[in-house]
Order: sequence, then structure tokens, then C-alpha cells
Amino acid sequence: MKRVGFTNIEVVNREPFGIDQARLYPLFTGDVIELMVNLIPPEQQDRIAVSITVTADNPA
Amino acid sequence: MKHDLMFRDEIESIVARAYRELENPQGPAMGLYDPEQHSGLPESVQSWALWVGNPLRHAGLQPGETVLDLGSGSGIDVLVAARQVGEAGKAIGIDMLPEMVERSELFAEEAGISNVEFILGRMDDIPLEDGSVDVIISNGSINLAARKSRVFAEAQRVLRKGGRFCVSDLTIDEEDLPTEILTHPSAWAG
Repeated sequence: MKRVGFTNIEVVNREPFGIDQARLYPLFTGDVIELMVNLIPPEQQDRIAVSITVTADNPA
Repeated sequence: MKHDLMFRDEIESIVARAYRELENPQGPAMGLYDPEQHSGLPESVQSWALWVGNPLRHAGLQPGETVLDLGSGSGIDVLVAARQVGEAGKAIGIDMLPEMVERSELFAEEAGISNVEFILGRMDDIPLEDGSVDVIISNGSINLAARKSRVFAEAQRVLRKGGRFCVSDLTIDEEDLPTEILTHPSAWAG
């Protein structure tokens, strides 16, 4: 974002995204959910990704 | 960039197929919205909430502004944004799937919201004039794009000087996930 010219780039929200949330999304197929359950340690399964919200300005 | 270009067609095919096969997603993301945001939207619209965050909570939309949603999907954020900018403003959604554009137009009609426009197009080749929008939002879509750098460059081009960009999306630390998962098609389509 900085490379194309955006300024004041800021992460304004950050939330963990876990397997239980992924299950609700049809795009995460059953086989990838099963893979994640089997391969990711239980203590990490509630944060397989992070949902972030980023704001930035296009300079005047 | 070379890597992205090499696999662009394959990535887009996976993403398009995953979205086309959706039938009744049951609105897993409605909990991310504030009640006043989705109040009054038909249940049929809410069932297609497939987002990962709430960029509109942070976008600071003002009456009269023109907003563009990159990868607008079923168009819910466009409808919410349209109500925030009011009749003097406009909310535009762009999506690469005709099915999503048609669904968005139907949902706008069901919701009785007219200050919207849905465009069939690509986030990395936005069919809008330079500096033509005040605010750009996106919600769980840019992570699906094969050429993310190009998406950001196009966003900067169509945004007016002094305009604002606000995006929610998923990010991962690749060191935290096994290779079998990182190379699975759902790692793109999810």
C-alpha cells in the first residue's frame, strides 16, 4: 500500500479467526477443515488466521 | 509479482468456482455488523453475509460521498454504505462474477435502495475514471486476488486525492500453518 502511494496506513482492528469460524464459511471445504483439525495443534485452532481492518489515506 | 502472474488464471478459476457453487450460506458474518447497519435489510440479503470484518465501522462515510466496494460479492456492504451516504451519495460495487452482480442488483431492489451501482469487473483493472470515488472499502476480497499489488495500485488510481481506503481481510502467518494447508485450494478460496 505504501509503495503505490497510500499514507497514514494503520491497522485499526485485529481479531483472531479460528477453525470454528471457518466452518461457517462454505468456501472452507470439509476436507480442508479436516486437514486443519488434524494438523494444527489444538491450542492454535482458535487462531488460524487474523482478521484485520486497515485504514489509509490517498494524499491530497 | 512474477509468481502471482504465473498462477493468476488457476487462482481465479478456483475462487470463481467456489463462489459460483454457493447456494445458501446462512449469513455467517452477520454477527460482525452493528445492529443499526443491517437493520431493515431483508433476511435473504443477510444470509449472504460472507465477510470477515466490518470496514464500514471505520470508514467514516459522510452524506454525499461516493463509495466503491472492491469484490462486493452479494453487495451487502454496498447497501449498508448506500444508506450511510444517503441519496446525495452513491455506493458502487465491483465483482468479477456475473452471478454476484445479478444477485446484488436483486438484493438492492428487495431492500428498496436505489443509490447503488454494481459493475462486472476486476479489482485489478477497475473500469472507473481516475480520482472518481471518495472512499474505497473491501471486505474479505483482496485476499482472493491473484495480483494484490495491482489491486492496491488501481484503488489508489480511482480514489480522489484526499480520499480514504478502508479494508478488512484475513491474513496469516505462514510459519504457523502446515504446508498441506497452505497449498490447499481453500487457502485461496477461503
